[in-house]
Amino acid sequence: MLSPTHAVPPDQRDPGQRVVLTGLGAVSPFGLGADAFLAGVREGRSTIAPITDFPLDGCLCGLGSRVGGLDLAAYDDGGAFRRAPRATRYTIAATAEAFAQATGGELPWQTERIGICLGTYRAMSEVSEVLWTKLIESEPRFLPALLFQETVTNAVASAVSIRWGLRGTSYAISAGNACGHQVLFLAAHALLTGRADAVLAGAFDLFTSANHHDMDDLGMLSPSGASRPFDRRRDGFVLGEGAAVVVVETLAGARRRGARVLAELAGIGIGHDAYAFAANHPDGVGLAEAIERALGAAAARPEEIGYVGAAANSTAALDLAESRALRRAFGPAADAVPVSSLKGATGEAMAASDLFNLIACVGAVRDGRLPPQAGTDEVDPECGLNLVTQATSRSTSERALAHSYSYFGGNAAAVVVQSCAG
Amino acid sequence: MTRKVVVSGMAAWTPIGCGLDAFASALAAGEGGVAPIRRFDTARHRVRRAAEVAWEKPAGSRLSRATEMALAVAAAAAADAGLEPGPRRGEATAVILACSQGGMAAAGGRYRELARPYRRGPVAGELAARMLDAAPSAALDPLAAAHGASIVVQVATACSAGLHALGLARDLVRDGVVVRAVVVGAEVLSEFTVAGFSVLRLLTAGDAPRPFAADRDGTSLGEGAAAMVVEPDEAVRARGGRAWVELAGYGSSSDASHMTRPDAEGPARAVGQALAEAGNPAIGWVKAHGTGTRHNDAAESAALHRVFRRTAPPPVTSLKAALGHSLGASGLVEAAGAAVALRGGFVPPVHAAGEADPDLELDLVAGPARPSAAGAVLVNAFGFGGNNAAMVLRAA
Repeated sequence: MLSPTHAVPPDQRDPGQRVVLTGLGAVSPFGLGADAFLAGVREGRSTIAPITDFPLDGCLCGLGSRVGGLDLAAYDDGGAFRRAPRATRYTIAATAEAFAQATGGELPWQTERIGICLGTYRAMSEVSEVLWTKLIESEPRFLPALLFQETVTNAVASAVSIRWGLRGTSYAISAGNACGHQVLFLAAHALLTGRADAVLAGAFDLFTSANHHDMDDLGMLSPSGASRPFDRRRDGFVLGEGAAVVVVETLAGARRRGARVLAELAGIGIGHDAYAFAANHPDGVGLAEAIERALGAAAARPEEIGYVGAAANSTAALDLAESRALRRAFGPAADAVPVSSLKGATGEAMAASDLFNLIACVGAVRDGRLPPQAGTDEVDPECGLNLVTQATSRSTSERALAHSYSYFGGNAAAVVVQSCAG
Repeated sequence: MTRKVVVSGMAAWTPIGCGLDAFASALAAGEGGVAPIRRFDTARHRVRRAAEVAWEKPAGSRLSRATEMALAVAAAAAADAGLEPGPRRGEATAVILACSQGGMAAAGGRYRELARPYRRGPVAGELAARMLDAAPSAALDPLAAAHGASIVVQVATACSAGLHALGLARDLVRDGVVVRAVVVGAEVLSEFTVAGFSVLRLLTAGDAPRPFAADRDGTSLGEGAAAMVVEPDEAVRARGGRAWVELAGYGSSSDASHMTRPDAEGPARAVGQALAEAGNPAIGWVKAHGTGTRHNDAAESAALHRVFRRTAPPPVTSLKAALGHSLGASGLVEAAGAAVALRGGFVPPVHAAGEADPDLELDLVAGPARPSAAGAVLVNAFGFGGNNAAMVLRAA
């Protein structure tokens, strides 16, 4: 499912070479849980709201989509959880949900055979912001030591591995602001090469006051405070955040332990614009390559894709580049395939958005419901895609495609999600 | 029969020498690079020594020094491999960057701006753009553009990132997922990290770390950059290239026990995996993680004894006394050091080695360099959060 050459259709492959999802977990601006997330995006509800918990002086954009008001008491282990950074707490909550769904309780795998692979863009900036501020305003010796150890990008992966005793291979990665699907690629590779029997794969991204100011100062955020992907009037994105994880294993492994399979990762493709620093290729060549590789690896034709979870984030360049990429990879089928970008509802949640896309695609192939395009009223004819509306939000397709595409760079990935009766 | 994977090009910039020849000579001579810090004002800091690299970024560059180092060392490794510069579409290749400080090191300037309320408001594009560059993986896009890669990832597993990145590259090339991988590690000195390691009581009060010594009391931080081109051996031969070393076996595991205190079991598993994958060759010597902290060195010795329980562990050396600890880059920079030493037929000694701790029962390599006809060496890297990586390098 990683190599597009000589790809055999999934249902003809050895079950030990098929990669499936058996658990999902999410913490999003819609609240705790993948179900809350799916319900929210399917209703076309937006979570974008005025930011009230940090000063916005000098900012043109005063809105964002924050995770908040969560009751995480159920995850409190009486230890470090309460003091842990948001990224850690949210990822732990999402992990608990995913493992509960995949296993119903005890982890059935040998602990040194469970891997973890997490991706993030902002990493632990919430912690480094606190520490840098301390360093600037105070003395180096007053830096809180326990907080410093949380600044490493792998802090969350380590916290999760400590909490659940996951002693297998561990990757904490970043790949620009979109790396959620690279994480799936690495997880699948670890499974298929026998380095793990199960992998917890996911992404988290939270934003801070400094992050918001930076993006605003760079002119990336929408001055009109609107997240409207593919809209003619789009003028920038709005920041979002969240954490989401999935449990990945082979179909053979899932069957052996009688696990319920949620969906299959039929094909994953990775690409990169390799164009310029801080710019997408205008024709989205990296994403086109990723889509072609994913379709090839899944032995799927564009006409067989019933929904595309787009990466578009309401910026002029990326939305257009993505629509060109889809045209390039799909040909005429690009006009008909139902597309929506969840970022109209959730804002740009970076690596977490990639996993949100995946979850929406899993939902699409499981129960045929597509998230309508939120935030968008006047579709840009230059993008010209068939955006999902409430009226067109039902589908019978067994396959969906999730996009991941970084703004400011050209890191891209695509995942073909397939319904799996197995 | 699994594909033989080799390193076909290498480059390294270190506190004891920039360029492989300088690096190798300095390693053989047992030179050390830990010295008074010059990069920032240390007046408020308790620890004032680190190992810095004598390399400055091009004048007028808007990218951070770490990003420029990564780009330059990657280009040097590609040239060493005899590869034509520039992207080649249609080939699946990877660029894997190892960096654990990421954007935190360069972010100070931006935070200083934000800390002054009267300065808030639209900031000059220049400064904000530098913050963009401070994002952990900003170096990836220019690297991808320069090397035409499709799989582009930053591995950020703290102090083991460099070796994890090399291991990932090896896996991807071995399995035919990519035809070539460029692995890059780059870390620069930051007062943020110096302050953090200091309050965690991980830094030595002495002149330099004394790995595995009886009186060891901590490590020193260091800068470093290295890059390796990883390819299938058959592809390198086909184009008349040269292989530095074979990446014969790789192991990766997690402790799942403590954020900053290592245990012996996780590292032992990673080492065991690497040896098994390499076919359990005779190991001539070990390039340890060897930070010089009480905990790491004790845990690492215990791990080595556990793995090599039938015979004694091979002679052990650590390059951190000479190079300091270059965090995310250390796994790769030190692997490059081990590779040049393997090729050069010597075991690099521990710089200014203290008296070996008798409780650890290791054959610690103190100066001068020992001649060695080893065919294979073990390279270790263990990170914060309990991430362990181990690699067996075999003479190609």
